[in-house]
Amino acid sequence: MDLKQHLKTLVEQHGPSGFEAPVGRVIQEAWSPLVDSLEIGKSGSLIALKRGTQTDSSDGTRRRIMLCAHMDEIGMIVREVRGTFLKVSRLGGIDARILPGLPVLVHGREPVPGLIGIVPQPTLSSENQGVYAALDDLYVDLCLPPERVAALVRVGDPITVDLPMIELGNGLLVGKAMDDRACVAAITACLEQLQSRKHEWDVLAVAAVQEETGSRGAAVEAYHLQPDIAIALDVTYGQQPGVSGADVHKLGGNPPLSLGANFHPALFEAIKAASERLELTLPIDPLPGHSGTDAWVIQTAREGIPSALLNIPIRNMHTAIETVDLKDIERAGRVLTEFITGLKPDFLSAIQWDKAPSEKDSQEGEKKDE
Amino acid sequence: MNETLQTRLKSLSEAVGVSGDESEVRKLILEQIKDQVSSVIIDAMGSITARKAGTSPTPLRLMIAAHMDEIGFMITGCDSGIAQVMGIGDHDARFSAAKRVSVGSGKTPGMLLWAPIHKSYGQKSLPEPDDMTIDLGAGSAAVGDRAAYQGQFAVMGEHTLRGKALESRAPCAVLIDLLLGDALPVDLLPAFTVQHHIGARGARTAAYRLRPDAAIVLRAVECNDLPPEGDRDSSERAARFPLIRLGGGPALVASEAPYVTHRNLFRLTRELAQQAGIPYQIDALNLSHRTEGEVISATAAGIPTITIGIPVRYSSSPNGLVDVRDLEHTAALLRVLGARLTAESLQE
Repeated sequence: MDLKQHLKTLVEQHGPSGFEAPVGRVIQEAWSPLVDSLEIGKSGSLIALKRGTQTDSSDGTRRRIMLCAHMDEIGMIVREVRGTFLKVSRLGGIDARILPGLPVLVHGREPVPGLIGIVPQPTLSSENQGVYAALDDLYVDLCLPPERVAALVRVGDPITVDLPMIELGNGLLVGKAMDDRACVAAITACLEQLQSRKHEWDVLAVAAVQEETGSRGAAVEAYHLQPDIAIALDVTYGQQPGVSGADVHKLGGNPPLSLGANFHPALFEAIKAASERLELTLPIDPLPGHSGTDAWVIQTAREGIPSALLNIPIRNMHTAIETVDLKDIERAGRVLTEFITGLKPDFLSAIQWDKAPSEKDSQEGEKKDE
Repeated sequence: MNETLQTRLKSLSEAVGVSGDESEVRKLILEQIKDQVSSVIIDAMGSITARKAGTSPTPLRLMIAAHMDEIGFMITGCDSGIAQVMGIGDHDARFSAAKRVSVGSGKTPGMLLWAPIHKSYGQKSLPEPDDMTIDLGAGSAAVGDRAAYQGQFAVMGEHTLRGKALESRAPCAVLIDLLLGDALPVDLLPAFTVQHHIGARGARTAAYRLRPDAAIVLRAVECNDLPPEGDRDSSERAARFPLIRLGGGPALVASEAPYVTHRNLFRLTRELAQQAGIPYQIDALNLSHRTEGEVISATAAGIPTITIGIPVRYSSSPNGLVDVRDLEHTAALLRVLGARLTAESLQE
């Protein structure tokens, strides 16, 4: 598969939070030949199963790893129809400052192209001079007669930016919705590599819905699928002028691996070890508390799921020019593959926390397993 | 929709011509008009002037000006794919965050970098264009290269075209349309001018060279027809401007303070529009920058000048909007004027 072309297809498709079906179909098409079965979860997430070579244990259970990237993108939703124009509300954390002048697509009874407009600068009141337009100040201009707009668009219809992916050269790719389709592409790359690599564990690849509105898809799928371990994939901040912090990473510098309360330390070490087998050094992404990703809710599903977070750095996050290095996507896929193919049936005991001295029974129980 | 006009405007809109570096637009225009005009001169500034001979035995010489240049940036340095810039022309920085640009004659794609909302939340004040940076990825740029927005030209709805630099290229398209049509009684003296956005400088030399009997400036006027139209008193500032609608017809500009358009020529234009049933609007602009009308009217011993505006929404944006009917009506009005304008009609 041409990863770049796959990514282009993914980011140019539309799927704002809660309206992911169109992008879900594109992912389904890409994953379908690579997996044993596919299903769509009750909240719309796409779940693919690729079975490993393990034999069922005596109680019929199988070891399963969940890979999770979200397929939704930030967008807007129609709040009010005013003749030719629409007023909008946020769908996820969209940045109103980047919107004026952008082409959008209104997903009405049929797709309607629009343009984000603002009132002319000279007509602004003095307090609004010299500042960015707020979301409430924006108009989606449809250039259609009001009766046509009324027939095509309803309050509640979603709106997404409509711009193609382009290449900056040297593997840098620019588009909307790299957050988090770049990570969906990394999972695709992994699933493709697993075609020719033996792996014992079952792989549950999840393209989750509604991350941008609060990781809602990942939460229910972690509960539903009940994996033994999980790796969430999301984007992180790429190095660029004017952006600083320990969570800012170089583009093309390998996918950062997160370390902090949200992540199982032994799982972190095991993924790090897998990357070292590939002679890749993953930058550490320190995240002491809330990761702001699907990993946060996966970790606390049911009685708790050992979780990790693999990141792909992008510049200009939450804009229409999210910029990613294709190498980071390829390498994230390879790290996942290497980790999965290295998973032994007893991996869970290898990552267990310190044993409580009084829990003699449970220790014996584990011996039986081995 | 008028497909000829659409195709012409698309190629003009997609061409890059930042003030002072208009050659791509100039070449495109020359190619289209060369068989229809004589006396083509590209002056020392880079403006095109020419003549399309009139059918009258003693034709009045009518200059029609439209500027070729657009706002943009100049590269001032480039290190590891990140370029520093200075702004060219009057930017409305509300449109610039995280936009796509084309850099240099090779149109290398670049991105106006934008700190993620997670790291720039609450930052409301607009930056100066000089503080912006462009990500060229693996590309490079030379000091002095110009950068312009990338637009996304498209047909929207039944009559509207979307694209970059329409404030400049829509008037150019109308003027080309006029030149490609039948000869009129008057001598048509087209001037496709440079450096409008940095002080209407090309219009000065072009008007001096032509020294016409009268001049018409074709420009864009910004629409202010976003809702609530009926509630214009809610903003004291908004109420100071006449309402200009997209699709409302060419805007006859009564004044562009401090320049007041030639009274007789203005009246004649309005009467002719009324007689011919061409929809029109009246605008009165209060601008802080120098305009081509102001410059041309005061050239040499003075030239009777009016300004006709084509309504454009979001003229400083990477994507503006024009209504094709406004372009057609503007061309029709110019034809009527070219047929009916006489030396007497200019006199007080």
